[in-house]
Amino acid sequence: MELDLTRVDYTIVGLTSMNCMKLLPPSFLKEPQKVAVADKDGILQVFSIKKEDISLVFKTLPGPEISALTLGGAVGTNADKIFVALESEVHGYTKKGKLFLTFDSCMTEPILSMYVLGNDLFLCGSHIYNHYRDCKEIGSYLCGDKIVDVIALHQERSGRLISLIACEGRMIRVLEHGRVTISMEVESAPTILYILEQDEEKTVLFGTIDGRIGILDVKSLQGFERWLITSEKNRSSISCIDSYDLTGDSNRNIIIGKQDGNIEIYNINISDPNDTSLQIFSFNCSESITSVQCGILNSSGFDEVLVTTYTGRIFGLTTEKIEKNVEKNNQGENLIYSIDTANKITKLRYEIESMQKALGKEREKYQSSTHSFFDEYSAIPLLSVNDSFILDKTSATYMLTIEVPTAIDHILLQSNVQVDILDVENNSAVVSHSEYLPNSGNILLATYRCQINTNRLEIKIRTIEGQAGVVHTIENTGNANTLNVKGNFSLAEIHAWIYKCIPEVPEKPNSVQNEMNKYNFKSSFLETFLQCSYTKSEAIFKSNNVSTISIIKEFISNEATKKNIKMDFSIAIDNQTIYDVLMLMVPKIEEYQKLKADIILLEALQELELSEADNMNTMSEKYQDLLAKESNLRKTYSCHQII
Amino acid sequence: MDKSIRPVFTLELNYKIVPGLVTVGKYDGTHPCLSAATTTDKVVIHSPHRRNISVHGRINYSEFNREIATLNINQAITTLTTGLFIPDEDKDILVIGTSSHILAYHVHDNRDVFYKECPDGVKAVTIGNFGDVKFPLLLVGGNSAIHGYNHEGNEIFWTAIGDSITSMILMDYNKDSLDELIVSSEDFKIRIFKWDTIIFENVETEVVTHLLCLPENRFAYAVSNGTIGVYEQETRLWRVKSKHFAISMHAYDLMGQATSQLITGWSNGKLDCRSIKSGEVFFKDNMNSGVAGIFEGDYRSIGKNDVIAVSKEGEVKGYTTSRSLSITTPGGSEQDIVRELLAQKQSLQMELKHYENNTKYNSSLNNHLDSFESQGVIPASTRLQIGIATNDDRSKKRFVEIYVSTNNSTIIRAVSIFAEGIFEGETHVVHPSDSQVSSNLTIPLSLPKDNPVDIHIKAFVGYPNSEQYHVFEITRQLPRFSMYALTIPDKKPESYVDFRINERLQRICMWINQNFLLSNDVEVDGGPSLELNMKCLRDESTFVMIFEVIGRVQFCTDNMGLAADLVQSLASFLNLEILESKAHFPLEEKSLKELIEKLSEIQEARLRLGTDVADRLGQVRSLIIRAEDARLNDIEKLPQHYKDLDNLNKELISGYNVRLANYNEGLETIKKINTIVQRASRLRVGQNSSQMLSNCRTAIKNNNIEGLIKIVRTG
Repeated sequence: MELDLTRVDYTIVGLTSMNCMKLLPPSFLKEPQKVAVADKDGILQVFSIKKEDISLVFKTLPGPEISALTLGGAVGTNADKIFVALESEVHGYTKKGKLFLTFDSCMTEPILSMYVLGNDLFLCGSHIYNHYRDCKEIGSYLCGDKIVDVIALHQERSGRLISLIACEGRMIRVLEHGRVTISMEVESAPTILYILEQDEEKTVLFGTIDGRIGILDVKSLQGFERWLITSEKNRSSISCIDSYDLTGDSNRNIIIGKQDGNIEIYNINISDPNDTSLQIFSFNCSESITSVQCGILNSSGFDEVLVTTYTGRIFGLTTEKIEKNVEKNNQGENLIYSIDTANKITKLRYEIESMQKALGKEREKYQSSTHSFFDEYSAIPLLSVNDSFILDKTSATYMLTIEVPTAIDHILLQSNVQVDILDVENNSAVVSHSEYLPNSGNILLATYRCQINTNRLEIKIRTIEGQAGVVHTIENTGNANTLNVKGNFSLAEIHAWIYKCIPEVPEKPNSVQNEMNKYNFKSSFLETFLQCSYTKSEAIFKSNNVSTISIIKEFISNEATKKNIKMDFSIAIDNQTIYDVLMLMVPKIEEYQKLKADIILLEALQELELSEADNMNTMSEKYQDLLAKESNLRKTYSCHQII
Repeated sequence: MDKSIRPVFTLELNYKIVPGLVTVGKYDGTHPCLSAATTTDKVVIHSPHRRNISVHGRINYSEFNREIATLNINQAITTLTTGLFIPDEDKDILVIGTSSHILAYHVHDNRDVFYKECPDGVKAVTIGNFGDVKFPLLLVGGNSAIHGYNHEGNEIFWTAIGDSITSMILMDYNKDSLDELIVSSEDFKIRIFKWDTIIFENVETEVVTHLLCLPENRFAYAVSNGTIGVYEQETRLWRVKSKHFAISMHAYDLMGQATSQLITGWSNGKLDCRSIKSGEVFFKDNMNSGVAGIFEGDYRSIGKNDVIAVSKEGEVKGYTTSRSLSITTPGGSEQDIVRELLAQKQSLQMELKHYENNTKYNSSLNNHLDSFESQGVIPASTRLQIGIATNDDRSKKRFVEIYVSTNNSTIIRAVSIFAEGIFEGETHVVHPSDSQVSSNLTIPLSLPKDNPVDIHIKAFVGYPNSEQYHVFEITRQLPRFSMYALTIPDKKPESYVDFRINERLQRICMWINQNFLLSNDVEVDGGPSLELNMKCLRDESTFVMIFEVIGRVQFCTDNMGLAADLVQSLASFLNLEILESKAHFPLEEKSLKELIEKLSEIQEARLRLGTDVADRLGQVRSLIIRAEDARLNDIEKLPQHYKDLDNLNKELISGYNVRLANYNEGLETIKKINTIVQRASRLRVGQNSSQMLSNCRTAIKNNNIEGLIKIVRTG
């Protein structure tokens, strides 16, 4: 690892959304930058950092949840105006804290993502895209897919203003004047967009749900260009990207924050597609990251990565070596301390003490209310739970992640279908499976008792009933079983059913009427395919796996019965497909059988205790080969033992 | 965490090591040698400081790695220990235990100190000074008893445990500067013996697999469910549970704190260094595979011991006391303190916010009422009520029932009960289906053992549409004899134990009320005696307790183990140091008699089978010679000889199976006998108990069945 960064904790704010912290641009070079951060309590604060502690510039009063924060400014000036989005409004503040803009977008959805470019403002809810210029709406678009992020830029050659929206359905759409000009399909669901400026060239990057960063070709606007960063080890969803020259070689480094708390820094070469990116730093803070920003914060002029986490922790990873004094205390133990930190600790201790006093009073009040005869209520506000359930293609498992702003004592997992819970390496909680009564609607009852100070837990689950997860893929021809469904259902209804039983389908159907909606899927476990084409009153499902078809039929008929819709099913089974699917399975089974046999053989070979080369030569080639591959085989074996 | 601790050396043994079977011995009196059992029933001895000594005999030095020697044992190795055993000699003796034999081997002289058959099996071994004996004893824990041998192989000590022994250590438990024996066994118990008297006994939630003596009269233990902890006399200082299992523990000063820390090696390859007093983790490292053992020795010949960890794959890592500027304030560096404080502040802030919201909500109550059910709002006066009772409904299966209910219209969505040792996992969850949720819930529990159990109940309270629920926590202790309920007088069981105590009936009533789950407290009714008819909920067997005013107590039950538990529980409640009793258990006596007869039959059969094997081996030899002879002279007869050999081989194998069955049967019989003897001893307390045990041993040795039964009856 080339970089050596030290963690320094600064402060805490309320829960934060993705991209809700920015560094204000310095007015002259090497001046310490100020931090603007907004949280879900509705508080926007701007502060600078002095001696490891914060000094506030301004702070707004609590209000509605702030979902996005961005910086902007009139063309040609420093982009030092702060824009925050709360519900359907946008507020603008100067860096001194003066509210200069209150703009109601009149959107019917709360704003989830926002981008400001000069006089242009782009706002997105979960399905609505709006474009305003000087606070006047000049374009809007309704997207069937869920929009996760928006950016805008002027095209280099033509200077035309285009905006890009990332959608959950593995699509990045380019819009101009509120119309989609290009839809770019990408291999994995995008989570974030980022414009990298290097040598006055702009490159659009996107992060994905499986931890990759890809490059979009904006110049010729053809779509996906290549993957810039792919990480085999860590497939957690990317939540934020920043770029900064941390190594001092005038090349920008990419800094990414991930949902599992990992912060990674890469050396990249954007212009050469043959140059692979090199990870130069990685740090895990065990809370999901919501934003990373780089700049100079302390007066000493050292570069620093500032990080906010979901629960509102703000800390820096600084290149500065924290000066430490060493002293022996009266027990002869070595103590390391710095005056700044010591001051901070005293201050914090004092704050905590006064808070504890206040809390004691509140507790008493609450206790007495539980004994009172009046109709008082105990209204603990809902804990905001940050959860995700993501399919991992390589292991055909789902990763359930749960994060809450307070320490998790234990988690109770209940399921009415049979699922396997797999062990996760960085999960130290004690799992206990409980017995259940048949017919109680429970198949799985398990508890996770967490170690102290856990506020994030990952659980890996493999489904057994139904299909083991599906991936979008290209159209497939060949033998197929067909399920034809006819009935009095609307497009929205049939789409909702498909949405319920297959992951990663857009929430809303493509709004084109009278045309078949088409989706192709591939099972990540067996590599069988499934093709759905549907429209109002009719749907056709094709799959070479007959059990997929039967599960879909069962599901749809269940759903239809719930809604009292009469359905006609006709199924055409191609006998060849049964053989085909079995043939798909045979090599897998054979492979595992061979692996097992090899491992048993290896155990026996181990007994011979051969480590000298001349002894090796007396053995058959097969055995020599086995011994050579031993460590590899054992690794795959232990990986697959859970399957 | 201090990053500066790195291994000072690493090496590879290239042998697969059995977890737990690793030790170190100074076989020549000065140089430590790593000794470990391999998966192929060998013992490897790694002696990095070996001078050119060539010895022959049991030990084979490897041809291409002169540091490594192997000992072929050819029987599954169960224990491996080293220690000073021969009086007035400074060389460690290697003691190897297999499922049926124990070998004390002098590595340096390459000779057997003794080789002895242990029909009871060898499960745990320790060497040291015990009791008044002037020379070191080798204590061997088997399937049901502990034997103590001197270096000549003579039995000096014997006591019955009643279940398989998992670990033993010798240490000064009660600060009397004499070593006591601490024994853990598969019945979840840790017992402390002062010679043959149990001075303390406690029950863990699972099988205790390892014990380790620590400085300052403390000891550490590891449980098969992943718990480790430390005891200081009777008080547990701390314990932690992990999803992995502790394989090996060692006390060593890794952090340079001038006192030792507890180093634990885990099944997943993790090593951690914890404070003995608090269990706080100072340091962690990982091996590439599961840890097989941890020990200390001066492996680099620098005059100071290193702590050395060995993994299953034969990886060896050595660590030494950290001499760098270690951070010794608890919680690590100041930055960590800042982080800790910030976290504390955060949680305080949140709690405050919650209370504020609560106040706000209550002051603007009228605006909200329509939606509060789904908002996680419940009346502040909501209480969770709990009742625990034995369920004696004739129609149903009998259980201890826990009844929880709320005092208003709120419902209980789910209940999770955390208790150790009574469920398959550590928790039991009740989650009624959507249509069945209501404001009360009954949870049947079945307790497998007569031990007091702490149960922690978490109930999720809210409304049917709630997204988030309020969690109510309740902790209760179930008394030791929860699975017994009062019943109508029936025929009294024939067997009983009878003794006298000098105690008022009121005190005895207190004991009953504390240890049984009765709907009403038992009170003295003024009669000459107090008689309680009880029924076991597990198998519906009955038992009767009679307490007379004059001090005579009788427990009538066919279950000797229950009688023993009752006697022990009552005696410890009344602080009785000694108790003498008369036992009448005709069924147990009969089976004891049968078992001893069976045992001698088995032993006879074993002798017979043994001579058989010797015969056959002779035949094998002659057949091989004849076959080889035929290969040169009379090729035609060759197949015939090999066919005969094959048949003989098959016979040998079937003979082996017969012997194996015989051996297992023998083991089982010994265990049963020892269990009865041990239970009988628990019908008495203190001196009487240990006296009875040693009398029993003499009687068994002399095959005196009548005498044995008499001892069981009268003590």
